[in-house]
Parts: sequence; structure tokens; C-alpha cells
Amino acid sequence: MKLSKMKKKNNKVKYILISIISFTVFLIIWYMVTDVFKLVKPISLPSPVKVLESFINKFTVKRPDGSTLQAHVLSSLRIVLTGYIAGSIVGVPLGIFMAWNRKADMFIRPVFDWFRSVPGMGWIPVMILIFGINIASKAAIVFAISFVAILINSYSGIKNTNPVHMWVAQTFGASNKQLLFRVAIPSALPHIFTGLRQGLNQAWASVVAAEMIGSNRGLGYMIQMNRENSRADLIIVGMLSIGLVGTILSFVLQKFEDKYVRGRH
Amino acid sequence: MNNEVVIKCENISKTFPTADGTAFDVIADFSIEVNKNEFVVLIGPGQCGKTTLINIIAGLEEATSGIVTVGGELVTEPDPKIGVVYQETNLFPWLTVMGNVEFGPKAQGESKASRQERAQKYIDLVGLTGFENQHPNKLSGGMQQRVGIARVYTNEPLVLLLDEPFGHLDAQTRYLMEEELEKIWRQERRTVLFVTNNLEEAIFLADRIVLMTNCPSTVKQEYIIDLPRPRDITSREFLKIREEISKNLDLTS
Amino acid sequence: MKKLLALLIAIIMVMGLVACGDKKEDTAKDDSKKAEDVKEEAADDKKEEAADDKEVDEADLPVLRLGVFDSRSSFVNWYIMENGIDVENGFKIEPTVSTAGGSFLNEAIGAGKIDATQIGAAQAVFSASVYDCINVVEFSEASGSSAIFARPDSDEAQIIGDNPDFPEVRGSADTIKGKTFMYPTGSMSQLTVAKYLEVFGLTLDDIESVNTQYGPGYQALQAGEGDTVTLYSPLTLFAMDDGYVSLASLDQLGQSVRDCLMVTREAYEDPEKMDTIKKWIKVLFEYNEKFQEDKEWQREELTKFHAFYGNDIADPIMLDTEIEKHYLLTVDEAMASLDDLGKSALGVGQYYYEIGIIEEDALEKIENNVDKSIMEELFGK
Repeated sequence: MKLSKMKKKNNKVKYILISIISFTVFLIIWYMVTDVFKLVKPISLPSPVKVLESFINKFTVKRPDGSTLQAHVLSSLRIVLTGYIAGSIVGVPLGIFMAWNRKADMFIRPVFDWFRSVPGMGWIPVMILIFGINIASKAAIVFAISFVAILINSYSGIKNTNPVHMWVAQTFGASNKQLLFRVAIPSALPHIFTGLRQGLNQAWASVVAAEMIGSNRGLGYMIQMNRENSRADLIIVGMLSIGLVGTILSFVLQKFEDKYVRGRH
Repeated sequence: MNNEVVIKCENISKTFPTADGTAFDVIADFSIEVNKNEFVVLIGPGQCGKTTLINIIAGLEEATSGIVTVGGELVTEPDPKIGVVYQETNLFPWLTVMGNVEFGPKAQGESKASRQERAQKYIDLVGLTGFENQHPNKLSGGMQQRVGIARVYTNEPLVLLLDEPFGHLDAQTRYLMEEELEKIWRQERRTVLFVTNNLEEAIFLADRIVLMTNCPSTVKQEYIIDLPRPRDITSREFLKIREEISKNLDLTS
Repeated sequence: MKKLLALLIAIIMVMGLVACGDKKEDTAKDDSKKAEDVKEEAADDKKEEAADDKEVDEADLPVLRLGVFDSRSSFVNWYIMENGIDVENGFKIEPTVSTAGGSFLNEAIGAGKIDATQIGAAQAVFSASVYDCINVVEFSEASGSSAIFARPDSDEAQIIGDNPDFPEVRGSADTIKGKTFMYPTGSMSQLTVAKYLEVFGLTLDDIESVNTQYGPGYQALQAGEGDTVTLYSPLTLFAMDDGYVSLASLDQLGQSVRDCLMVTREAYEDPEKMDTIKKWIKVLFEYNEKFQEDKEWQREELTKFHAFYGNDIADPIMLDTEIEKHYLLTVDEAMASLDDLGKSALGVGQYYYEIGIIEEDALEKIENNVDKSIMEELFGK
């Protein structure tokens, strides 16, 4: 037992080490290709030094896209978290319900199968029609994108409940409701969190699509604008910020998962 | 020994439809009676029908034909008076040892103090004192099955059904667990129906061994084991019985 | 783990070698300048293709790698390619088509995938200032393609000629103030809106601006959102057809926005490439004039062009509007305004500078990256 724990810890250190190495190697190659050997024009791919400079400056400089970096991040977060939380509130219970109730499954599934096949961008016209041009329509697109992964994983989590667990609980006289709340849902929790994680990643990545509708600010907007303005350095700053914030969000969710999913590995 | 019949299976058959439309018989005309506090071991060579049979007796599956009664009542659905221990993935990984052991009484709404007191008694009995707040993934395979046994005892069932509970343990642990189970059973007598494919295990534990045929499963022969307990697996009598059954067992496989 | 690391490093080194090797080959060819033009790794394949083509074209025809649009700006060029007129005239156009506006073509320039691009003045600002391209010719006037639309029953649509200097412009200060305008911010459309507001002595602060791309913006107007939307051709035609009223188009507001040919510095310094580009300019103007002479034929071909890119525009009124509003220049017209070459990009650039999109030194580059001599050589007296 102790051995396995040590091994686990060792693996974690290894993982962190490899991450740091791979990131450093990536930075070095980037630096070599740009500043050292000048293989790429700086207007197409600015050097990491230039990007870092733009990154730091963007905290105070509003030009040329009208907002500071933190204002863009906050605006995107507001949209993404609104849509994502709504997606979770609807997706998790609906997925559980569909998996638990055969009739509900048969009734909802055709609509859902259609729904999931629509790509994120495809929602733009419909969402404008329903919600207009405001945060609601943007959050609705995030909702539509994140909700699918969340629902599917909750659904398959419940469907994949080990039958032996159900048998055992039944032989202990558990009622249908107890089977759901004391066996199926706790057993599906890792799956549900997987869905929440996937949903969060997709929600955050969808920010670019969502911000095609009437935005004046946000990381997606910032990237689009600076594409128009041929500012590759700020495009990369936007990309890096999306990655960075996405990593932080995943980390926070992981902490939640560690807290609520116990006893699995 | 008390001769009151507790588990009674009459002419149980189970047939599954197959993909090509034909029927597949897993159990055919299976009948057995288990007396109160008797330890009966079902032994059969194949993988066929044994878990299905346990689930039928537990009320989790319906027989194609035939009836099961437990404690004189017809079994139609799962009932807390019938406790089951399966081979593996038996425990709820999201619950602690205590959470697992107290699951049954908790589902039936028993008060916390009362159910935990009883749970503690059986945790102590299976030798897991101090592990109450561990999750199952921190326990070894043998310890996990002890929790499974404590859990089923805590629910105070009338009968215990054990479906190859030690099947995935290594030989050493398995042997220890057999001794442990036998000891517990002698302290807390219950009517037990135990399924295995390990003959030594069967002779070590059983009052009576029921030899089954391979697919479809049905009763082939019965042996009364009246060796004194605890049994010595190296004793001459033990080996003699083993040899005798083993001949018959080989023929069926 | 050591193995993994070793493998990783090995892969990186191989990749590095490949990239360097490529670079050497490339610089051997056009090493004359500091122009470090080697593409991103993603462009490597293209590189090889281009090299293959070069082998072919030495025996065959010189190639012009040209950035084009799926819209009116590239209509004549499309006709030339479709009918093999380029080959007849001793060169081959290899198009990179943008369906996503001019910024895509600027990126293609950055990646070294094209020699020159057709582009509107608004994005030519960046071709000149960021990508160091040279404006050698302007071949159509596009300012009529950018227009502000409102609902036919709105207050602002009822008033026309409120400012007598702009007799065709609809609306008035009172009817516009506080209204919601939808347009892609920081683009030429913002310039259209700003110029429109100027007519009534207003600024962007007097209205509500919502940033929308053209398609979603038009959908939003149809869905009852906002008060006006600024569109670009061919959406302007659909809006007109759907009964929306044009408050003003950029030509009516006195701002010229011309389509230019922006040539990369590399191609510009390569006499052979420039010969090909001159051939292209000649053919383009030949057909500009032919189309202007025969409007019936132009309508017919324009319909085919739009159908080619999936737009169903066959209505003669819509076609005539486009022909009139996005105007193909004749040689005489181009020569008459040759002194103004680059002025429309500079005008847009100045506005971008005012609103903080570009820096002052960019304006200098836009002003300097202009060469009138090509047109003089081809058509001068």
C-alpha cells in the first residue's frame, strides 16, 4: 500500500517534470524559429519575447481592440460560466433521468440526437432569433455546446452502473429511489465529472464562436479583431490567455472532483 | 441438526433466447432443499448458470419455470432476508467500510446508533477493526471480501448466498478466508448456499456438497460431508472424500 | 522515461533539420534580399507543390499566385480564369480564394503563399503597413458596396436629404440619436457609420454600437434586434431585395474605397513576376471595359459568378445595383485618378489611426508603398 502510494507520488512528479520539459522545449523551439534563426516572419509568428511583452502591456493598453486583457477575460468568463452552469444544471439531471427512465429516454432521445449533431456555430442564427443580441444568446451557444457532453456522460455513467452493485443494493432491500440516489448516482459520479470537465473545456473553447455575436469585448472578440488588424502578437496573447484560463478552470473543477469523488484510485 | 427447510428450489429452469432465435438452456429442472443453518456447497465445473441460479434464488431474476421459496415464502423479488455476496466488485467504492457494512439497515431506515453498533460488531468479527473509515480501494482483495461478509451479516438475513466469493483471491489468501468464513459461520450460524468450482474449498466448508452438471446446470449427485470441524485438508479422510468426488467431477467437465 | 525524453529530443532535432534544410534550399533561390520569407511548417507541403509548379512553368507558363474573393471584387478575374484567358495571354493564375474577407488574404501573404492579392482598401491598409505590400493598381470602386440598412417603417427611413450636401442620404440627427447600430467594429463598416453620423453632426458616442459580423448582423435585424445594420455586398443586395431601406452607402458619404492589387515585396522585386502581373493588369482592364460596354452580358456572367459561389442572384435590379455600386474602372478612369492611387487606403488608414487601431508609422508605410509607374508604363501616353 505504501509502495503504491509512493509510486503514485513518483508518477505525479514525473508528470509535472515532463510537462515542464515539454513546455520549455516548445518555448525554445519557438524562440529558435523566430528570434534566433529567423525562419518565420515576425508578422506571421512573433517571437515569444515579443508576445510576452504584448501580454504584459495588454494589462494596461486598450489599443487596438478597445479593452485591456483582464476586461476581455472577465467578459468571456461571464459568458462561458453562465452558459456552462446552465448546461450543467440541465444536462446532469436530464442525462440521469433519461438513463433511468426508459420512456423518457425514448421520448427525448430523437430530439437530443438532432440537437447534438448541430455544430456550435450553427446555433448562432437561432440563438439570435430567440435571445437577441446580448449575453443571453452568447451564453445560450455555450450552453448548447457544453450541455451535450455533460448530458451524454451523465447518461452513460448511469447506464454503466455495475449490475452487481444494483443486485447487492436490491438484496439489501433498497427501494427504486434508493437505488438511484444511493447506488446509480454515486457510482456514475466519475462519469458525471468527466462530462463536466469535457463540457467545461468545450464551453471555454467555444468562446470564439459565441463572441461572433454582438461582442465588444472578450477573448474571442480580441482574437477576431486582431486578425482583422493583422496583429499576430495579440492573437497569440489571446490564444495563450484562453489556454491559461482554461487550465485554471480545469484545475478548480479537478479540486471539486477530488473532494466529491472518493475511493476511486 | 435442525431439519426445517429454509431454501427450497423446485424444478427450476432458465432459458435465454439467443441471437439466432434458438433457445439456450442454462438451468434445467434444478431442485434442491437447504435446511436451517445448513452449509450447502454447489460445485460445478463450468461457468454455466451458477450466478443465474443465485440471482433467481435472490429474487433478482425470474426463472423460466419452477418456484423458489425461502423461509416458506415464495420468492418474487429481492428481500433483505436473502443476503448475497458476489465474487468481486461487490463493495460500493464510493462508501467507506462502515458505509458499506451499514448499507442494508440504512436502506431500511434503521437508526444510526443501532445499525452502526451492529455493523461494528461484524467489522470486529471479520477482523477489520480500525479500517472503518477506509475506502475499499485501499484494502486488499481478502479484506474486501471480509467487508462483503460483514455487510451481509449486518443485514441479518435468514439465508446467505455466496457466489464464488473467493474466486479471484490468490491461493494463500483464499485458504485464510475459507478458515475465516468457517469460523464466523460457527459463531454466527446461518443457512448458507455457497457456489464454487474449487473442490477443496467445498469439502472444507460444506455440510453437504451438491455436484452439478455443466450446461444446462442440474443436480448430478449429492455428498454429505460429516467430517468434524474445523477440518484438516491434509487428513486422510479429507483426501479420500476429495478423491471420490473428484472422479465424478472430472466426468462432467 | 529517459527513453521517452531521448525520443522527444530526437524528433525535435529531426524536425529542426527538416525545417533548416528547407530554408537553405529556399534562400539559395532568392537570397538576394534579407527577405526571410520561409513559411511556417504548415506551409511546407505547399512549398513543395510550388516548387513542382516552378519546374512545370519553366517549360510552360509563368504562374501568378493570386489572392481573390468569392465576391464582386474578383468577378472579372474569375471570368478570366474560367475562360482560360490567362493562358491565352501567356500566364497562369493560381488563385487562393477567400470566403472570409481580406484578413485571410493578408495572412496568406504573411505565409508566403501568394505573390499578390486583390483586396479592398480597408484591408489594404494592413497589406501595406504590416505585410509591406505595394499598391500598383486600383481596378474597381467598392464604396457603394458598404451600406447602412434600416427597416422600411423606421423613422430614419422616412427622411431623405436632411443635409442638402448629401441629397441621397436618409435619416436626421433626431431620428438617429440613441439608435442601435450593428456592424463589425474596427472595420470599414465603422468608417461607414462614422461618416454617416458626421453628415448630421453626430459621433459614435451618440448612438449604441453593437459589434456583429455581416451575416449574424443581418439575421439579427430580421429577428427584430437593433435599428440598423451595416452590410457589405452581396448582402446589401439581399437586404434591398428583402425590402430594407439603405440609409446611406459609403460612396454617397464621399469616401472612396477602391479594390487594389497589392503585390508582395518579393514579387515586386522580381522582374519576371512583375511581367506576369503587368499581363494580368492588361487583361483585367480589357475585360473591365468589355463588361462595361455590354451590361447585358455582364449581368449574365455576374449571375454565373454568384451561382459559382452558391449565391442565387439573378434579379436584374439586384444585378444592376451591384454593377453600379461596385463599379469596374475603365483604363481612362483609372488613369484619370492615378495621382490618387493609394489615397482610399490612406483615408481608411487615417480613420483607423484616429480610433487607435494602427500607429502613426503605419500611415507612412501606406503612403509610401504605392507605385504608379506600372500603370504609366502600361497605359501612359
